[in-house]
Parts: sequence; structure tokens; C-alpha cells
Amino acid sequence: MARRRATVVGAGHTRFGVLPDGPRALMRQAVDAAFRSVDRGVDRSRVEEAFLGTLGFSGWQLGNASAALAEEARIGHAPVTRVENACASAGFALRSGVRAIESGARDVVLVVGLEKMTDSPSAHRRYWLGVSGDTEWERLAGLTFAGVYALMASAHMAAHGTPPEALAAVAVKNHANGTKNPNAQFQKVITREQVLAAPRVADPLGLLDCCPVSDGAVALILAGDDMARTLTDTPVAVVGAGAGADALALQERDSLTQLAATRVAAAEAFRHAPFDRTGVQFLEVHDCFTIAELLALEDLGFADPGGAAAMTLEGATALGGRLPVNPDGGLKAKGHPIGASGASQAYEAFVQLRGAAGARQVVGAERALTHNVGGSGASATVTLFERM
Amino acid sequence: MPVAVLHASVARPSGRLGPLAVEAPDEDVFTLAVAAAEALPPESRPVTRVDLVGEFPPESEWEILEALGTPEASVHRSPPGAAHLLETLRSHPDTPAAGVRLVLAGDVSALGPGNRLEHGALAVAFRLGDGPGLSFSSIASHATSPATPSARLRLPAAHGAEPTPLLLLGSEARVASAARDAGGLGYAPGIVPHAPPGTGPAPSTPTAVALRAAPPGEGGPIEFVLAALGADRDVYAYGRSTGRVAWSEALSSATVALAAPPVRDTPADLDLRAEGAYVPRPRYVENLPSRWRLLADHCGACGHRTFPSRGSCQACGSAEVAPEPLSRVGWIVEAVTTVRPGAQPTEFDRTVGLAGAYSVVVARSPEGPRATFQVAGPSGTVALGASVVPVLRRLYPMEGEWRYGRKAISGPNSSG
Repeated sequence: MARRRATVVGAGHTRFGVLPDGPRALMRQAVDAAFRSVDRGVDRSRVEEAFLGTLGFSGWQLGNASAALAEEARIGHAPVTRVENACASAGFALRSGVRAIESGARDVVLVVGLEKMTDSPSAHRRYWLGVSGDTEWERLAGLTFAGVYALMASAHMAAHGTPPEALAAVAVKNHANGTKNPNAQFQKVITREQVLAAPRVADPLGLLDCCPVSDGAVALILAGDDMARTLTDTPVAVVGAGAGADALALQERDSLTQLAATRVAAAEAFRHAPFDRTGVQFLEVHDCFTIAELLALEDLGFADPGGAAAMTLEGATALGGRLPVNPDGGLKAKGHPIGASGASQAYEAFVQLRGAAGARQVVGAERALTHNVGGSGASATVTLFERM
Repeated sequence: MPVAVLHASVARPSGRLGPLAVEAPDEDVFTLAVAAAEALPPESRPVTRVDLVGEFPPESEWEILEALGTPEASVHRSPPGAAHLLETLRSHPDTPAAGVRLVLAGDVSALGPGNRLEHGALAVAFRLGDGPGLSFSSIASHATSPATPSARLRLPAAHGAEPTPLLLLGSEARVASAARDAGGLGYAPGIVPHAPPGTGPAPSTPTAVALRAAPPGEGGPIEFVLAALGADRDVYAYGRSTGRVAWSEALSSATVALAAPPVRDTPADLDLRAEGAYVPRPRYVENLPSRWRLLADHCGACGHRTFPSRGSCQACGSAEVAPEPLSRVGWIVEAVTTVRPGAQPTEFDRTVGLAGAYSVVVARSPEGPRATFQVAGPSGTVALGASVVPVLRRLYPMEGEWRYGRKAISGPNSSG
């Protein structure tokens, strides 16, 4: 008997950015939109379980946020589990939902990613921006994530001669893509010169190398592949769901220029997938900082170590290039509501593989990979999608 | 056998205010004293007693034992001042033959009348025990009251054919007048001024520089006088020393130019409260063996070194591990960044406010494990591949006290 697969049958996405809505309203909007998107409709009473990815930024309902989702999603007394793996919270929530369906335990599952980041004072925000880094060593040395990724960038530049222009090219490309995504926080084209001249945040990273602070929520409705077609004509199957972990602090990792968690996650995702890397038509990767997109291309196996810079500079990763990366603008331009980003990547896979991505459509896309990283690489998920 | 000063060392602060060396914002008496103690040559005998001379922070008794890794030693405090240092060096001659004693003395800068900087900062460390070294005898001291500022230097007349070397330490006016007195009594006065900004050639501090400069290192009996100007009185100490001791000097970090004299923290300054990510005090204290002394677990089964120490091997899981500190020199920078305003955790707002930015490195120890260090002093002074040395500095205040950790400074093998 063929292995049961999970499929995405509906997805909803709020706008990302500085929004007036609170976390409950954001979840409600995303969930309502997800249910509306199911072509033949699915009654909320059929949701047997839900998973919520959120960091709980700023301390809003840090404990038991699951219950707030149960209320806002109006899914009765179905159990909800909150999943927290920093910026990869929703990636892991999705994986939990996928496993619940693959195992046969559940038929219909709701996955939600959420973060509300912009409603607290800036000092409070800065406290929270570092909470997922290594607290006892990196934070006591004065690092938040910009600093940690900057350290990796410096090591990558030293090891491979990665030029600052390659980092800038990531930002330029993702901003260009963001202008084609109505949900994106930034709708503005930027130039390589602007990126290079932007104020420095943590050398060699400048302001335009960094993703913004964002609000947003995303909801996904998953169903078993044996029943998906009763809900929609074009379900998108999850054909690989890998994940990996690593030490919290860079100092304890084998390499400063590779994320082992990503490599392990990718290997697991492809292990039982019906296609290999050559079959992937576009990537959604975790570009919280520009260097992270280069690391992702290399760790996911789409570029040799040190090869992502040239690949980016020659335009291969642009929309219309050989392997489009982050057609929705990525975390960089679309925004990065921490606990929502992993679900947002899956949303993009869903709309792209159904041919509904509008101006940013990757022509003929049937197979996609999404990549979600927690912290500076302490956790990662890699998920493979294919249109059924 | 009389107890002698076997080794001595000095640690200079990295802050500069005009020509004077004063403590940088992340230095204090405790960090300077630890730096001086770490500059002493290796010694196999255990430390049985530590004397702290100066205004050490409230927690210094246990902190100094943790920093030095000498949990069995007793700790004793003395007030600041050359007289107290001399008295401490001369007292307790009963150090067990199997052990050694440390005397750590230090001052941070002090402001005198008119907000003029009276002296800079410095710390010295002395190791005392059985063996050849510098001995003190016939030490005495006395104080003059500000009510009698014209009191003349009271000294026994020098004897011998050659003038006796004499060290005077104090404010310009005081030293000048004392030097005249001393000359009349048959001494050859040398002056170490701890003068107001712009007038002194060298940074100095009453407690510490005195002893640094006093022993001439030529052997033979020397009579000396130390004069230290305090806020409320002048203290004179004088005595005779015999023998000699070699001085070592702590590696200094890049200079921090200060715009104003360092200010003393008020309790409110230190009352940063925890929010968001936070290291509770018990966890901070628990990690100090690794954070301060760079303690790693050396695995007897596979040879791997686990840092920070966890009590078992991170590579093979064996519990057969020996706690061994990593080297304090020869760390090589593998990654570096400069954290600009806005990218720092809020605990470091004060650091950014004073310095504008700071650098952070991931560096690899000679033994293999890596660690993450903020760079002490100006940002951008340490490059990839450079050799760095982790030194103890203040990190940030939390819940009423300073928390300390290792920061990196350029090492001796650095090409600059």
C-alpha cells in the first residue's frame, strides 16, 4: 500500500507588515481565508487537530496560546498544540500536522503560524529579538541574530571570497519579487548601491541585508491525499518533510559557514520524495539575512560550498531564472513575523503550484521546496511540495 | 625562613584621559586585580590566602576565588592606600611552606577638589611565600591631618655615604615640598606624580605604583618612602627592603579614549531588570568556572575537550573527564563582526552608549574548543585570523551588581 501523504487543500495569508490588528484578529483573518480557499468547502467541525507555530513575541499569551487559536479558529474542542522552534516554529508545526495525517491518526488538520511583533516599545522588541539565540554565551558577548549571522557572513567571506555584492544581490532580487506580492511588507525596488550604502547593523550586514520586524498570520488546511480531491481539484501534496537540529551557539558547531540542521533536514525530505533536486522548480528559503539565502542554497545542495554567490550574481535565482528563489519576496521583503514565516512559505508553494501566484507566478511550477530555519540554525525544516 | 615577595606583576587600565591611564568603562579594581594576578608566572603551590587591598566591589571575596580557581584560600580585605599595602605585605609571615599567599592591590581613578583627576587606575599582584625574593623590614607609617597641611615630612635621617633612594608619590605641591624635606634629610627623592590631567607624565595610583617603583631591583637594603594623597589626609609609609623581585606586566588592550573622568555607579545605575532573554544569577554563577577560567572537560576516553564544561564528554559521552582550563593565549579569530547601535541586546545599551559600537568574535582556543567573546576596547581593532587573549571584564549590570565575563584583546602573536 502506498504511503499516505498529507496535502494542502486550503491556505490563508494576512498581509505582512506593521498592522493595526492584534494576534487574535490576525489568526482569525488567516483561518477564515484558509477555509474560504477550499474549493468545495470543508466544515470546521471536520478539523480534528490543530498546530500553532508562534514564538509568543513580546510575551503576549506566552503560555497556552493554543487555546486562543482554538477560539479564533472556531474549531470546537479539537486539540491544539503550540509548537515553538523560534523562526522555524511554523515549519515544525506544519511537519507535526503532516505527520499526524501521514500516520493515519487524523484526516483534516489546521496549521497556523502567527507573530505580532510591532506593538511593543522598541526596547522591549530588542529584548525579544534575541530570545531565541544562545542566551548564556552569545547574548552575554553582546549578540543578537544580526550579529550572529554577521559572524557567519564574515567566516563565509573569508572561506570563499564571497563578495558583499552577492549579499546585496539577494536583497535586490527579493525586493523586486516583493513588489509582485500584495501581501509583502515592502513593495519597493532597491538597488545594489543602496544595499551597500545602507547604515551598517552588524558588519558586514547593513540595514538592507536584514529582514524587518513584522506582524502576520498564515493558516493551512491539510487533508489526507485519499480524500483531498473531495475538497479541491488541485490539492498540493507534501512529499517530503525533513527536519534537523544543531547546537544553539555557533561556537559549538562543526562549521561556521554551513548549517548542519538544514543539510540533515534536506536529506530527510528527499529520502522518500518522488523527485530529486533536479526536479525542484523553485525554492522558498529562510533569508532572514541576505547571507542566510546563500547558506541555504549551499546547504540545500543547489550550489557547491561557496557557489551560491556566483549563482545569485548571474541571476539564476531571480524570478524567470534557472531556479527562482523566494518568488514571494522572502523574509527580506515580504516580512518575517517569526512564528508565521514557515507557514507563509508553504502558502507560497500552495498558490504557486496551483498556478495562482499572479504577477510572481513561476511558470509551469509543479514541484517546490520550502526551507525554514530556527535561530541561527539550531533547527530547520525542509518541506517538498508537488501538485497532485 | 622569612616570607618574601616571590613574584610581582602590574596591570594597567586601558582608558586614557589626557595623559593619564584610568579605568575603561568595563574595568574596575576587581578586573584589574585579576589581570595582575593572571600575569604572575606559573606556580605549583596552592594559594592559601588572598589579601585584597583597595575598594573592591561587595562580592569580591568569592569572586576572586572563583576567578583564580583557588576555592580553599581565605580572603581578607584592607582599605586602600600605600600604608595598608605595606602593612599587608609585612604582616602574616606565617604562610605555610607548602602554600603561597597573594596580595592584590588596586585603585581606580579618583577625583580631587575641583573635580580634578587626582590619580589614575592600576593594580598590582604580589605572590608571597618561602623562597628568594623581596623582603620588607622596619616599616612604619603615619598620617597627617588636613588641619596641618604644612606638616613636614617626618623621616629618620638617612645614613650612609650615598643618598638613600626614596620614592614620593602624591600631588604635585605635596611631592615638591616633601622632596625638599627629604633632600635635607639625606635622601635622593624620586617622584612618581599622580598629578592632575595634563601635568603628569605617567599614570599612577597611590596604592599600587608605590610598590611597583619602590623596589629598585638592584638588591641590597633600600630605604624608601611612599607618600599617598588621600581625599582627607596624606598617608606616609616608609620602610626598608632587601632582595629583589622581577616584575611582570599584564597584557594591555587597545586604548579607550575617554571624554570625561569615569563616574562611580550608583545603585540605580546597576539596577537593570531582567526582561525577555535572561540569565538568572544562579545560572550565571554556575557557569563561572567556564566563563571566567575557561574550564573545559578533557575526556580521558577519547581526548575531546568539551567547552563549556558539562561534566561529561560531548563527543563520546564518557563521564571520565578531567576539568582543565583552556589556554588564555593563542586564541585565533574565526569570525568577527562589529555590532552597531540598535543591534545590541538591551543589556549592552550602556556599552553602545559609551563606545558607539563593539566588536564580537568567535575564536578557537589552542586546544580546539571555540568561544564567543566581545572585544574589549574600540571596535574594529581585531581582524579575522588574529590572535586574541580572553581577559576578565565587566559585561553589564544586572539586578544591582556587575556581571563579569571574558572579553578578547589582541594577543602577543597578533600581527596587528
